[in-house]
Amino acid sequence: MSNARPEKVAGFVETHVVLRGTGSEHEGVVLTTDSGEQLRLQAIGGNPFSDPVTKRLVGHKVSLTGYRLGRIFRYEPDTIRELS
Amino acid sequence: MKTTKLIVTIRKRLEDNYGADGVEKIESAIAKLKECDDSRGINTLLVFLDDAASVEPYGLKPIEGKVSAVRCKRLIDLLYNSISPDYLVILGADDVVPYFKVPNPSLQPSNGDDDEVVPTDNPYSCSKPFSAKKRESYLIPDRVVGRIPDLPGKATDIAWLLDYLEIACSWRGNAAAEYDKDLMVCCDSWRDAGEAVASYLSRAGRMMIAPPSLYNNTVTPPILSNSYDHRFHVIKCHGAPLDTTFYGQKGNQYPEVITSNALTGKTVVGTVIGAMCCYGAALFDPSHPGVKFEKKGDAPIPSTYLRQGAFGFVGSTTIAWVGVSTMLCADWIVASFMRYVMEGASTGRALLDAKQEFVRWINQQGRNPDISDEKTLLQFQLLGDPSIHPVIAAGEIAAEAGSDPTVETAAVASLAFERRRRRLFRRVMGTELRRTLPKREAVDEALSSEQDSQIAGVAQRALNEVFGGGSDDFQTDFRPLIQRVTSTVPQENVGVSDAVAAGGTVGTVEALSIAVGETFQYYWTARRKTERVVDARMVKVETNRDGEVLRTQVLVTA
Repeated sequence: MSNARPEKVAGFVETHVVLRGTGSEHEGVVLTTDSGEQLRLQAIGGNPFSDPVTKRLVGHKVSLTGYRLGRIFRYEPDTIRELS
Repeated sequence: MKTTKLIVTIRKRLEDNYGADGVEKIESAIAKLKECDDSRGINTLLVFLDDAASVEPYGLKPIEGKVSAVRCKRLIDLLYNSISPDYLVILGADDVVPYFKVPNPSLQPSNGDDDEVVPTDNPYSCSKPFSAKKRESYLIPDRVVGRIPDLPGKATDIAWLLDYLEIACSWRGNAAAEYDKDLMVCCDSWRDAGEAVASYLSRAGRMMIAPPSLYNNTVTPPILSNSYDHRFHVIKCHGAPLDTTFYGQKGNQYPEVITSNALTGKTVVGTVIGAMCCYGAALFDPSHPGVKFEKKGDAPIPSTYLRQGAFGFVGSTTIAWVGVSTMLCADWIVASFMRYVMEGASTGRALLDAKQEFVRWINQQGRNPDISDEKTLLQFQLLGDPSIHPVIAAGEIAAEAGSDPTVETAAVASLAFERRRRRLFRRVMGTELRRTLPKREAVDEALSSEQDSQIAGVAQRALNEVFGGGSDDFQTDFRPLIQRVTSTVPQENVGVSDAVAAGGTVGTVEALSIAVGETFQYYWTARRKTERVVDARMVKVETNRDGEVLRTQVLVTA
């Protein structure tokens, strides 16, 4: 079994250009943490290039649980929590 | 004379994954492979790099303590000095024999390609000792190398490895006609480059376009799933990390094209696959909770292919650069690999030749590899036994078909000799290509700000030319990455009379002995906003030191 450990991150989600210069690029699915780190969000099980669940997070401050893959954060959709 | 195939692995890590019993099974499978290879005129040696009993016969000491790619490579280099193998097989995935992780030449962390490092086997393919600070030590391969992976992770099923080793035992080369039927698929967004790939492979008009050629498409022929059992696969689609799917693209749609689950039970023995996709050959532990799968437990696509009898899979470990309207970077490596395999090369030699010829061709044009070319060389790797010849060349058919064992032995020896000559040629070529690599230096501003601004305009026009649309469609509203690229060319025997005729003097003859060329390469990442997805490209503009534009190029990643 994988020993990957889930991690919780929190921050503001906005539309943002990621992977510029790549055909894999997405607009506006980036979470910026309080420390300024930017992570591309992808829902586990969702299409990594076009996912309505992830798109709906834009404009919200949320916490999520998931796994880092470099600068990607692949999260469990049922761990989304909106922060006030 | 016999050909030598060296198989290296790490006993301790295999034991950690599969226990002592598991390692015994692997050793038994390799012993069988050794017998099979012997009948093909190949002397196969298994060396556990961390096992004294395994390396001491060569006068070497095993790796003790932490296993790193650098330490593995150092020992492999010493083994090359002793036994001079024609093939190197790395047995196990990254968690058994580690990849090198080298800096990403095309890293643009805030804008575009954000791979910090490139996991790569390329340094193992280089005869030069590895030096992290000297890219020429690990960029140009000159050895034939392939990796036979197990499934990464702890306590994964050993059958993923053993089943492929059985394939490596039992393979037989096919007539080229066995590869006439193909599965070739390309994103709609890159269809022009996809068609160019098909033409290069003498298969014009056979590239399926996705969408609509979805694997489960039941409406519009050609239906991709009808081609799973063809032996020649070229996939120019999108990929993602920890993902068991390749994706097509048309505008903002990214439909699924091929999945591990859909391939299961469909691949036929002898299939050869070349994938330009991002992360196409990035293996992962299927039990990782972040995996995007169709069915729980789905393995990475390359693993699925190999376990079902594919002979080899060439793909990328990271974000890959591809062409939009013409063949670029990954397109050349993959297409050349497939072409050389069809001409009778082993899978390992086909990849080596593809990489060297890619650089040689750039040199032949008088140019230098750019940062995307360099990343491409690093990230593409062969998964599978590099000694397999999917298509048997005419001479080898004669050797295999001969009923007189004496004739057969003589033919095998002749083929081994020819193989040695090919290896020597590639080694010499590798040395030459390394010598031509330019120096790269990042600079803040190459020319005057006015000239830099004019060059940005050239980039904008290049984008519009490739993609059409008005000048406002693409935005290049950020600073480019600028590199000063310096290369030197020795001048051949410039005689005094030649120099005088050219208006020179004896003094200038000496000055002409080395010509120095300097260009500036500007890299922009440009984007076009759409409703949900940003269409983005990298544009390269190269100028001379006076700011005159020499060429432009537009790339995307897969």
